[in-house]
Amino acid sequence: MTRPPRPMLAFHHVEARDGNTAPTVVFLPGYASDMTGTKATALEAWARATGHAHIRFDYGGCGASEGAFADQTLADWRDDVLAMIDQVAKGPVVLVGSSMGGWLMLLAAKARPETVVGLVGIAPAPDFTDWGFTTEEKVALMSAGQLERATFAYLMAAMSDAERDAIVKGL
Amino acid sequence: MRLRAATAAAHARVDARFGAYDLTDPDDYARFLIQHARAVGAAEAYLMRAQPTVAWRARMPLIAADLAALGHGVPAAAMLDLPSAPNIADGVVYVLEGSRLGGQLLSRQVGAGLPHAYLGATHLPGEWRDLRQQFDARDAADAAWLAQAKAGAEACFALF
Repeated sequence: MTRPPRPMLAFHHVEARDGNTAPTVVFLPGYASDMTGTKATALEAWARATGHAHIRFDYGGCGASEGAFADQTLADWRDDVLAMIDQVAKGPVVLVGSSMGGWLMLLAAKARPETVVGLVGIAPAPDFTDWGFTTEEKVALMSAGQLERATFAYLMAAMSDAERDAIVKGL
Repeated sequence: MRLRAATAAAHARVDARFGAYDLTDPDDYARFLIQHARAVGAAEAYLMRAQPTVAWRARMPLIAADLAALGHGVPAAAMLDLPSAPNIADGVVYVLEGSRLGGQLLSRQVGAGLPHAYLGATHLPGEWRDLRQQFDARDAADAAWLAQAKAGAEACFALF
């Protein structure tokens, strides 16, 4: 099954100051949010002041981009992130994901492991709770109010020392 | 519908909370919408990835339009930290789609001239009946469904 082409996306691209070869910083908004929010514009102001390349954009069906909101899926919005990486940044990127954008940045990093060189989450909403539990176990843990701690303990126990260090530094 | 009975206490708490807003007052109404935007935004963002077994229709663009007309932006969404599992997601759909009924009642209280795209977004003809029948069918087909949907519904009620 072929998916229809994505709608035209609205974006703002600030090019790097001459000589700045640092990765392009790409802001990924949250659900039903857009690129005019204070986090996106503050990040762009920082990029302009420091000479970094920066992209902010609207997902299909959101903000100034074309498309109907009701038609969008998470996979569509991931593809919109990939379009920004492939067609606008055209080089290494650091993704900054807010809320649902934090989930999309992980999907994008999985799809472009060579190009996505860094991830920054702002109150990210990824699905950390999915790993290693059956649905019955998740429900039991949730009703006991223990899911977050139990998941964390479970993950930490399953990790190598190096992985543990990396996660703890990232928290 | 067994899910309705199983979540009645959480439901009553939410109804009591939102009875306290004066929807004829633009500032109070905006506070009401901002609180709903946080909750609905979190729940809908969860549903985008959780793949419930039943259909749902997003209302965040409607809240955003109402808030914009009142001079407000969309607030940062709350978090719905639930596992992605279809039965749990069904409970979230029950709360969100069911809230169109309460919204319809509240929309009559909104002051004249104030935007009400969100509260006025009622069910399509037959939509809620079909949804209830689908929930009952899922409950009958899967012994684990009720407990999982209840967990999702209660987490979603708690957002509001």
